[in-house]
Amino acid sequence: MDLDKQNANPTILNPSDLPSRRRTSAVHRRDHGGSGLFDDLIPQYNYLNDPFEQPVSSSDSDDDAVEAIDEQEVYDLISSISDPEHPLSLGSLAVVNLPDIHIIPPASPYSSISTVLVEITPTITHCSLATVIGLGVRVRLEQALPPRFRVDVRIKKGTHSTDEAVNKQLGDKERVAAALENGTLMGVLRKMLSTCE
Amino acid sequence: MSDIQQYLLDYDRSRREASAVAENSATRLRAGDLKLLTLIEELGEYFNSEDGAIRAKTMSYLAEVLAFVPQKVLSLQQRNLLCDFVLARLEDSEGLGSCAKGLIALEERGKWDSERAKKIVETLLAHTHPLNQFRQQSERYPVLRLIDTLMAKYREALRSLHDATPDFLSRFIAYFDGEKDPRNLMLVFSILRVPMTEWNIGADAQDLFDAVFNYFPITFRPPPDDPYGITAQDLKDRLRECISSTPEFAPYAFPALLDKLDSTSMNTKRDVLQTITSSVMEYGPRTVSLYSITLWDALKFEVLNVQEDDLAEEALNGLAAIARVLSQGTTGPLNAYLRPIIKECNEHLEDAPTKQSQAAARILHKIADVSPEVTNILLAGMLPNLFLLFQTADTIAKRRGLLEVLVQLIRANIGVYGDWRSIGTAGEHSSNNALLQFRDQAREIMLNGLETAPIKEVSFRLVCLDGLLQLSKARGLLNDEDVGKIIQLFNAIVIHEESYGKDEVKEAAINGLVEVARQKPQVVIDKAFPAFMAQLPDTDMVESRGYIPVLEAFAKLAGEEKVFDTVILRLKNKFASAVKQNASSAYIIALLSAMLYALTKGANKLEQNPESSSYFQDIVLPLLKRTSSSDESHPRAFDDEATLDLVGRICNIIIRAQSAEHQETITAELYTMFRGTPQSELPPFNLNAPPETNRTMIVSTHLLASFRKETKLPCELDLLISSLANYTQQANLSASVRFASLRQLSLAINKFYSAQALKTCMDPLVNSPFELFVPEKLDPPRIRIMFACLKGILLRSSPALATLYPHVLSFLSHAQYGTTVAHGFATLLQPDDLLTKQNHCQISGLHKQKSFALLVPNITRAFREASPETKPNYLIALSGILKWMPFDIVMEEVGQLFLLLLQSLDLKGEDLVKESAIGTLTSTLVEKPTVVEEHAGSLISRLLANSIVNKEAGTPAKVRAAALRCLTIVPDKLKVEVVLPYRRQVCKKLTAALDDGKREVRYAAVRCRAKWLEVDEAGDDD
Amino acid sequence: MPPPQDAPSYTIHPLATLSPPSNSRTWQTAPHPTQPIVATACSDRSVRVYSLTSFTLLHSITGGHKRSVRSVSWKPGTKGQSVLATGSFDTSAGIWRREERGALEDDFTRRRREEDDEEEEDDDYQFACILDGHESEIKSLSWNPSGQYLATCGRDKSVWIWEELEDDNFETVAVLQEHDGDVKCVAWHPEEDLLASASYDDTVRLYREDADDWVQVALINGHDKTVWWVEFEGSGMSGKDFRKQREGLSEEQTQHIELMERSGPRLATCSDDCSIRIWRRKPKEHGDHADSHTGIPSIIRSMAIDEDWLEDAILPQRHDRAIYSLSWSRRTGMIVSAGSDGKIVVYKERWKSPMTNGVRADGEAKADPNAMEEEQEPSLAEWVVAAELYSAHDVFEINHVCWARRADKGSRWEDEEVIVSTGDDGEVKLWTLDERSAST
Repeated sequence: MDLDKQNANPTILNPSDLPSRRRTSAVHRRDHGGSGLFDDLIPQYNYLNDPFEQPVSSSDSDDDAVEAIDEQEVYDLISSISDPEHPLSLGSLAVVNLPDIHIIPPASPYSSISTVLVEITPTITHCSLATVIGLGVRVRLEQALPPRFRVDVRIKKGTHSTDEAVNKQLGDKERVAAALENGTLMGVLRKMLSTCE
Repeated sequence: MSDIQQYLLDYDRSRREASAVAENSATRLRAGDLKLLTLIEELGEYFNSEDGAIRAKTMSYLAEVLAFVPQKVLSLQQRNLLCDFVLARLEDSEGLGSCAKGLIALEERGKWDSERAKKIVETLLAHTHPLNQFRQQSERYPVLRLIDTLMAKYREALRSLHDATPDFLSRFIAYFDGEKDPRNLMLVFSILRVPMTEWNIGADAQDLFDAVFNYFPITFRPPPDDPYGITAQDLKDRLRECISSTPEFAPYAFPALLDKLDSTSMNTKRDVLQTITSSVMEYGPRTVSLYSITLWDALKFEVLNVQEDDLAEEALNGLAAIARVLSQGTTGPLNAYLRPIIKECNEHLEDAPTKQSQAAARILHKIADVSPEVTNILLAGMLPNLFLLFQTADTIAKRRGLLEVLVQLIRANIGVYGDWRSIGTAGEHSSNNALLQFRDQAREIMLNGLETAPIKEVSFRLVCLDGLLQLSKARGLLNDEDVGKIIQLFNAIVIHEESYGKDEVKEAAINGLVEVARQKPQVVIDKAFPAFMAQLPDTDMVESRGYIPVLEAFAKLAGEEKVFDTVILRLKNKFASAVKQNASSAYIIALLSAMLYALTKGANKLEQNPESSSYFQDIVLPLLKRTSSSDESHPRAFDDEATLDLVGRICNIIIRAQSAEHQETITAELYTMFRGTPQSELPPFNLNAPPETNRTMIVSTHLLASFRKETKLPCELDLLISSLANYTQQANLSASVRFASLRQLSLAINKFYSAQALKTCMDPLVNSPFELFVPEKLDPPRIRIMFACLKGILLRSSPALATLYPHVLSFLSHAQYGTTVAHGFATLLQPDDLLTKQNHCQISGLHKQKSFALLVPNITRAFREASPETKPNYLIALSGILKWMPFDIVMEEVGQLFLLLLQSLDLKGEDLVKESAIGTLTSTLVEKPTVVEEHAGSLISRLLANSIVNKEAGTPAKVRAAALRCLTIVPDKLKVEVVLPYRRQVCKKLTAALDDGKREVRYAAVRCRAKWLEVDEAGDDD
Repeated sequence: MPPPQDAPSYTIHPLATLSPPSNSRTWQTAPHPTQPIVATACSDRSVRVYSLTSFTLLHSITGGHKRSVRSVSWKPGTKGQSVLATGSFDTSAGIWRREERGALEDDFTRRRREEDDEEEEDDDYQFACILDGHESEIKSLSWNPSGQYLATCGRDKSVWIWEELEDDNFETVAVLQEHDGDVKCVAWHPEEDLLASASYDDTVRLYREDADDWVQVALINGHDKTVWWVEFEGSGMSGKDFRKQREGLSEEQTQHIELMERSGPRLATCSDDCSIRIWRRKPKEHGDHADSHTGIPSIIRSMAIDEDWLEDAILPQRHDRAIYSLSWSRRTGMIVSAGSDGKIVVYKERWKSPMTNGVRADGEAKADPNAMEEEQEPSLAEWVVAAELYSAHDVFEINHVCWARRADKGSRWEDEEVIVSTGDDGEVKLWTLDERSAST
């Protein structure tokens, strides 16, 4: 795959421009917009846990405050996958983009099943690796998201010559399962996922 | 019988005895008991033996004898005679090795004339060509050593031989054909290097080249127990030296190397690239100029489509080397080389930002760095087009891509022409710097970009900012006014810009200011500081706290020595006026924080000249007076304990650097603080002192911490200890005051007792009336005192511990307070920011080992006997100790501790305990996995149990995450066959953790599960 | 949890989870034709045989396949032994045999072996032979009612028919390559040698033998996404389901029944498009339909053996993701379905009451317009949801459902049925179907 790449010279986004969690939370990070530079001037542990004041729980006053899985989290899970033909992440190649990730809540009050829909944008319209990339994304999410999520990976409309065919394959649970039992293909996928954090 | 007979007899039985025989003959030769002639004659019949083996051994005998004969025993003509004799033996195919040895021995015993040297080589070529016909490495090796010696010592002779005899060199080269043995090859390479570098090789150049290049690339892997320790690298280096030894190889070397560059083996490619680089360096400008463009065309691919980053690096080195060599020559070839590079890079700019535009930037940076000439040519070749593209660029992304290239060129330029602090490789003539004519345009577009681009264009603005920073660093490029403009822009960003995203731009702007401050301190002080100060109100009537980021930025500047003093000064003045205007506590605290931060940043500067600096007068004294004052000069903020802590630390950092004498001026005021009230009426000596006086204990703690141990305390040590002990027990103390006073206990004990006195320092507390260790009297305040004292003592690993620890350990089984005591152990070794060397505390290097040895074995023993209900206490105590114990100390014992650690994972509600237990388990996995192996099952199940939320256990997120992180490394550290059986179960259970309420935990779970899913590929596939 | 819609007349209750469950995905479960056991195809390359009386694992068949076992099928009508066919992603199909103790008793010649059997408690399924031929994963296999033929299908777009000449000697009698996509499922007609296959190409195709040459005789184009499962109605169901009650039927209703009986067992399919459709064969004009064993050369007959399968009904849509499987009760004629959304839905057929008629009619019209143009006269019967269960396998997908005869002590009446569901969680669960008390 190293030789005659299908797209030898892709456009690359700069990491600073990729969406990140702190971007959203930053605004109300500190009421006064400071960076907390002075916060650890006075070492915390001294005052925090006088071990004689029982019981001292480690940090968990806010454990009940649930942080739901959101689009950004899904993005973080897949943007670090590396492209099969470049040592670059799908995020920096803009193959996966935050606006193209949708979490759809359960269809009925009786169901607890949500759906994650990811639309990927191949670097070029005839990239035959689109399927592999899509597969990588789907596998990553199936491994990393709780089972109550159904994962739908699609090629973004009009960004690929044979998107319908690819979508149908990516949507076929049985084919995906079989692919995962295929050693060589798994090798490629493992290489792609090895950069995931 | 004669020696030779003896020798032949012993030879097969024992080489050593045989050698002994030879040595013996040598001594007899020396003594004159044996005539050389007789010896030779005795050999005669064996040299004529039918049996080749006999002849070989005989020669070996002669060689050994000669090697044993001391210098000066053999006369010149004896040596010549022997030499001819041995040479004659060369016609015999037997015993070649020994002949060579013999000759070497002779040579060592007297230099030859050049004729002889020639003769020897001639004879060797005549009778033993090609050398490879001798199958035994041991036969060939001495010959090669001999030739190597000749090459080294008889250069001229052999050179003339070569000049005189037309076909000599070709025979000589062919002589070594087919050598395979690494040891011999090392010699062959160094032998052949001589003609390469010193002879006029003309027509033979190609043969000579092929003779060595045949071995390229070296793929030799030395045997695990190689006695000669020859590595592939040794061979590679020698071979590379050969290839790069003479420009005459260029016509063969470059094509051959480039051909090998297509190899799929990364090692070969790496080898090729390194060889190209060193060849380029050696061949010199004239030769390189012929191949520069070919090389460029080949090497660029390694950079433009990176496979392995280090290969790209090697390729870049090659390209840079070419430029470097060419800039030693005339400008013509250099231009010829750079022209296609400039062309190519310009093309890649067209579609920036792409992988290849980034590559272009990399290439330009690397090459431009080599010399002023190159930098200037590249600038002239790139920038006009770059600016043009920039103006016509339709997207910001593209502009970013272009600027990235520009910045790389500027960086390279700084490398060559230097920055304001240091001269570059070009030396001191920045006048001809081509960057000068692009300076203004570059500054314009980047200033403009940084100023006007939308705030969300982070990366673009970052590049602009970086570019401007580089410009202002470049030596002799911008005048102070222009630098000032840049500084002001940075300032504006720091101060006025609203926070966005990760605030990378603000961050970069601040760091930018610091960097410029290093280069142009005065300009920063003139341009930046006023703006900062303007942002800091004397009083904060307005309820915005916008001054915080400003203070943060300003305090950071203190990190730069040249402006440190000014920063402190301005902060001090701000503080003074803020207090005068009685500003809000929040503001005062912010100012103090900034001051403390600045001081810590400049701590080293304080240490340089503690006395001379006026900080003591200007800062410490006023602060102390304000602290203790009760009149209107006493700021409200100073009633806040956090504020006092800051005050204390500020004083501490200034005082502690000072000499004992100097400190003596305030030791007396440790508790009185210039109140004028007698010490006896104040805490800790007076338990009924007015409540507000308690607070100042916080400050005195920091003062006490800053004193050198030679200083004189304001009262008797024992009195201080007991007073503090009584004082800390009062119920009405605030947490921080109590904590402060307890630390005074630790400090006083650690610093001011002599080693002798230390042994008994606790007696006043242990004896009646206090009776610290009487179980009936045990209560939390006393427990605190115990541990406070121990903390001071254990840092000095005093022998007293041996008697003190057992008391404390015995309390672990205490019905009422056992658990409280157990938790105390976590405090013992917990790092403390006051008990430090900087604070002149006495800290023995081995104190942790000492405490470990005294505590842990006892705990494990006691645990076994302990009653079920007290068992947890021992686990708690244990993890409290291990928590702060470097693992290499724990390592030895960990086998015994492991099961206890596992059990502490079952404790309910002891989250900190679990956390540290997991910590130790993790290190055990990393450092000593063997211990874990047998318990893999129970470890895995416990970690799983702790990583999944369950209501009644209520394991907190931090523990869950820790457990998961530990579980993550299990597959790496344990054998596959151990882990595999658990894989499916673990992966299945972990799906629960994937749905954890806390992102941190989910993150850990994802990584953990990914690791475990991989286990399969290892072994399961059959 | 009861769904809100017009309350179904049945409720689904958990009876048991077969234990121990597998640690990884289970694909499909096949009840034994005669004995109270089921075989489950597992992605861990094994087949698990559970008891329906004790709900526990009896055998784990391993070592045969190198990849997921995707499909299992018991050979019908075997005497004295059980024969199991397994289809795997490793492209091969395996045949496994196990002697049955019960059968051995009256066979003295085999006494010795019987004793061995007593000793080793776990008398295992013996690997008998392997069927190689498919180029890629096998996705489904099925024995025909007589046990003469075994059909297999897979990703290589082909359907293979194997004939067992004698024990463990199989011959390929047909390789049908009509589909242009993976073939997901194969099923046999209960009375005739008629084979149906469903595919990734969204179609269903039927085949029968025409002068010892298997050919496609019908093509069903109705689904617009992958068709995951196909299954025939049981034999003579009109005597068992809602139609058995004949008194007081209107003239046209009686005609309807006759029409249906002439058509023979119907076909049910489910798809990625979230719909379940019933197909009915258009009866041949002259009496009984194509009998392929007539001597007339196929060139002329071939037209005649072609069949028309019309859409008989679309079941109310209750699934919002792919429906992987459905099963048609041989006893009550009810249909159960399950799929990616983790729901189990049971449907029953009934006469349209004139009152509901209108409502239903345009209800269906909405559901599927082209149903009308294919169907000349709107059907007099209608399908309604009888029971509905969310999250049957917690949050996991359900890969397969089927009916099985209830065999535990709790069985309430002769040949009571249980629903068997097989999920991604590796669990096989049994469910009972209970009529709601009249109160609702």
